[in-house]
Amino acid sequence: MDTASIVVGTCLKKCPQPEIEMREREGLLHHFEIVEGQERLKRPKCVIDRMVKEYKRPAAGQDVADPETLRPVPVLHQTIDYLYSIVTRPNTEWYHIYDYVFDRLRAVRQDIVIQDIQGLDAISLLEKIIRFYILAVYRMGNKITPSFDPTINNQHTQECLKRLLSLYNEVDGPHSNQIEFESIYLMFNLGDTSALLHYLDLPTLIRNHPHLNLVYCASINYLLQNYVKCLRQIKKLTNVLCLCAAHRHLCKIQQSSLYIMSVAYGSKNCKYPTCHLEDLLCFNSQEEVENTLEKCGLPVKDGSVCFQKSLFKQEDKVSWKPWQQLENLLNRCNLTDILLGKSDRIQLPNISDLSLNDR
Amino acid sequence: MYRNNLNTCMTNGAGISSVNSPVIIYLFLTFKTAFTKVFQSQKEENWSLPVMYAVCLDLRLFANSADIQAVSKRKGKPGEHLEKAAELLMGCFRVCASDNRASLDDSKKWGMLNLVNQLFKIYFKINKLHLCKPLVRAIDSLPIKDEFSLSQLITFRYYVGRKAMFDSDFKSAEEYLTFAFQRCHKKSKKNKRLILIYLIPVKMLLGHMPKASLLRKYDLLQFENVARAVSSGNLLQLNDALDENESFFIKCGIYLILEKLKVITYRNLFKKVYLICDKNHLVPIETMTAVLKMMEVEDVDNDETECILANLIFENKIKGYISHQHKKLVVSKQNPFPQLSTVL
Repeated sequence: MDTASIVVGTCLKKCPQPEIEMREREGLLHHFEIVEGQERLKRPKCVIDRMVKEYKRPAAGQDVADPETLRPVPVLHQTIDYLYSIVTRPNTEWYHIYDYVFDRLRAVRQDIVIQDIQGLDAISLLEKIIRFYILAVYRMGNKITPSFDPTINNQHTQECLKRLLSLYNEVDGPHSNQIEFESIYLMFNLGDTSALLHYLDLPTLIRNHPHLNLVYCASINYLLQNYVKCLRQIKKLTNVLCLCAAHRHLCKIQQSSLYIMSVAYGSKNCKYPTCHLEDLLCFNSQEEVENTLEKCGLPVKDGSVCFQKSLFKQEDKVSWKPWQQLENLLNRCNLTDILLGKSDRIQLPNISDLSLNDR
Repeated sequence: MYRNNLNTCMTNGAGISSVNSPVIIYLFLTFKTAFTKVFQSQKEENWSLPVMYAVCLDLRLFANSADIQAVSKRKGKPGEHLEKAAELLMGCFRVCASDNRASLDDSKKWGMLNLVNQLFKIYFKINKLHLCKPLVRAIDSLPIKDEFSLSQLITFRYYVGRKAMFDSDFKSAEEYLTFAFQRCHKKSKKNKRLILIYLIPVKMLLGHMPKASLLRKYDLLQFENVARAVSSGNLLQLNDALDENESFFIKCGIYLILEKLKVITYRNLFKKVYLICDKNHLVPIETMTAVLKMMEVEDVDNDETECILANLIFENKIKGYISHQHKKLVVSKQNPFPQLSTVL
């Protein structure tokens, strides 16, 4: 691209001054940005420190590339850090937080694109943003709000992940978080051919990292429909974000397994203990197993199920449910720390191990 | 005239392998755009198709070398020039595809397949396989789709076959690749070998193992141990064989397909166990697990064995059912392991 056409932002606040004034004047402040106690006023005052630039769709006749409304890299980092500090806000429903942060992050991404931010700066920004998307989709459960649609959230995640991975490839490393994000990508796209091919194209040193290799094996086992092994490998993971990415496949795995089992164990006289299924297919409780089985049309009696192909029907709408293993982990960590990448980092392989691993 | 121009350009500057100035590429792109215009203005005639073939081929080769150089100098992204070239080829393709008025003999539609093949080569190189689908559809809906020259048809089916393979549609992959292999001229050994690299894994998945003589003839001994391991149900040997030629398989993009051979290897292994147990229709799960342990399947236990068996039954590769209570696999008394080619 022509170097002359690239703009560099000069806005040193999280929100450009004209926008602050405009939104205060027009009563367009977000709940989170208002002076406490003024929420019920028609024209409340804002707290300048809490103002964050809103996402605006690029429209005709509107100058998006005005340097005064664009934030340079350090300010973008500050903005994200601020946004992640409010996720632990007390007495607030998560979906309010999600709506707010999702919109403001979109504006951050817009600033990144308009200023054509590349290299290590883009990498560190994208890493932070992706963490939110991955975590949010789990935390939201099946609440649909005006801005939360799992499909859209997943599209944003996918877009950012792909961009991030191509940056890892273009920019000279080593990149300290690469293993973590390669793992997240592979897990997010479990069993997907192009994600697997991407993994196979990685440098040997990265590919053979035990954590990433474990996720790869899980993905291959998913592809080969060896669900027992796939789930066992997923259970071994301790990275919160990888588990969040895994969670979106969990119900699908359980459903397919039950379907395969209704064919393979399909004999009228055979019984299968439900407590064994709980353990095998990562259900949270025996009650949950039995509920799921009943929804699938399979008869449960005295703690056993009788699998029959002809009775099986796919659950119409698989409802979201929490996952105990992940809940336990989340309870132990601070949300802000996870989002900022301060907890459970996956170490890069040592360069001195290179000779050992490089085949 | 075009040839002469280009030749002088190349002899004055450098050969295709060493395009060292972006200027040449720029000039070429301009020339190509001009060509598209002239080409489009020639109504109801198609004598210039051979010229178009030559221009398009060179464009792709130029772009390819430009990419290689750009990457080696660490300027620009890989695939950048090829993508640009693909855009221009698409321009030509649109001209050809929309030539509806000319009579069949003078139609530019005859140029479509050649362009599609060039585009395939680019898309496969830059890993944008999803772009192939509309092209395949455009060709398939042509009334003249089977009347193109044989060499073009072969190239086309080779790529469509590879695409089908990528989408795990192995039956059609086999069909396309078999056409390509059987019709490919027997002196084009290099091309036949390329086709085999994809046809062999597909055939193996469908239960047909390649003969050693074939592998030797086409210098594809990388597959020898793989085939032997799969047909004897030797998982350990399969893993070794995959490791041994890992980089070759990855480079050809068939590593994942070969991973899928594990399922067939399990089937063959279990069949052996069944035969060793004197074809008793009750086989203890325990025995299968022990065998898998012998094959060094990591941390395997009865639950995983049952899962593997369940899949084989689900896919009709084994006829029978599992009794969890009795810890037995109960196989059908008739034809418990049907031929693989009949079940896929």
